Amino acid sequence: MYKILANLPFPTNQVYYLPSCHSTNEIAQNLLPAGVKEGTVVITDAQTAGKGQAGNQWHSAPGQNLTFSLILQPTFLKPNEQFLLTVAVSLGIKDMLEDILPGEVKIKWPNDIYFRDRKIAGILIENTLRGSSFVVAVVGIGLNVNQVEFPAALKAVSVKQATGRHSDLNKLLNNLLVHIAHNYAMLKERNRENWRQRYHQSMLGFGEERQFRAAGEEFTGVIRGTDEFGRLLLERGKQTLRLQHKEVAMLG
Amino acid sequence: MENASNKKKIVMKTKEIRDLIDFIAGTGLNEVHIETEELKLSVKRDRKITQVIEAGAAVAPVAAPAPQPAAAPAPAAPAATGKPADSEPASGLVEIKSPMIGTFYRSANPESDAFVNVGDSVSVGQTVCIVEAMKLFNEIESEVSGKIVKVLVENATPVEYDQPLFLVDPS
Repeated sequence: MYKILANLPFPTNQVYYLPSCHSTNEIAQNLLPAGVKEGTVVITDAQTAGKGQAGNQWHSAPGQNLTFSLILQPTFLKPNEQFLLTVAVSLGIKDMLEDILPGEVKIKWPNDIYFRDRKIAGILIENTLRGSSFVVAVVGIGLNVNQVEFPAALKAVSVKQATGRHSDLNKLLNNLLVHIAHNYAMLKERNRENWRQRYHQSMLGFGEERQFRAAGEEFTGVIRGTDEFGRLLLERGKQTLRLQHKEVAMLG
Repeated sequence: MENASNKKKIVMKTKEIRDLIDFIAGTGLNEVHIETEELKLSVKRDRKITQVIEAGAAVAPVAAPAPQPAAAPAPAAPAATGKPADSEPASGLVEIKSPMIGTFYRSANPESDAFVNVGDSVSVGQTVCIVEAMKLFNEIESEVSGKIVKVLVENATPVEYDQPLFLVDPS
């Protein structure tokens, strides 16, 4: 059973636990009209239709991993600053994992967390906006914890595979929320630039020559960071491209 | 340690419990557990019977939900958004614009119907489209009520910040 014991800077620490559900993001969305507060967590042991990016399903064995959604109300952000949410949540997950896997955790732009060259966690953020105002953000997170077998094609890895140890899911959930809340609190600070730099320096492939595909061509490029909208800054020869995620693939 | 430092009492009010039951009733879920420091609540649905099992100490019996007695402040109605007076297009039509760069989607997924079509009435707060940017998915709600006159952008195509997406006749 899940319980938030950590002292988080949110108005509630309520946890909705579902033994199984389609998608925690969907349940969280359904809770919104009832006026749930920032900090509410929806968590399940078995997500039957978890949403991954581009229609991919998140593969998770029941009861072995963390699959949950956190409700946030970043009304202090403008919609076109929303990539900062991805930055905050990515860094929160990375910081938590760095405590147990120092130096081995990277953020694969824009929103996957990697241990070495394998995916250990994924994020799916769904916002509701009215005009130019934020209403609410539902932050879905999947972290592979105790699962030790994955389909090979997924290139996935778990905390257990990385550390050799079994983890207590509730303890990990609390640690994760502490680190996410810490990074989220920094969104309200003025000094966002240093903090964006930290995201950039955590990027998989940052500053390295790698192969990319964009606009139907394959080429060697170097990731230089992201712009204010979260677009990838990719150096190709003398020019710097600004690319949305569908416009580019990192090949290796 | 955590218990001592966390002084905030989170007591579930009967209204919240009722909301929760309503929520469960409206979904296909059979079982929901909620656990905070003060309470542990399990709700199971058995066909048409909704059963509330109260296992914590902090909750009052919930058999007869009474109107919430606490001196609740009057619901703070959000300041009236009013009719946007800025940059109205010709003939009194109002534009719904993209609040960010991204990709414009008219439906939640390729299999489902468009959120709105030309001729549909929309109300304030109604979802009209999704704009996806760097894997953040944004449901855009209308700020105006009226009738959709024109959809200005093709489905699944890129949009710029402030680009008009829909024309709405607010009259």
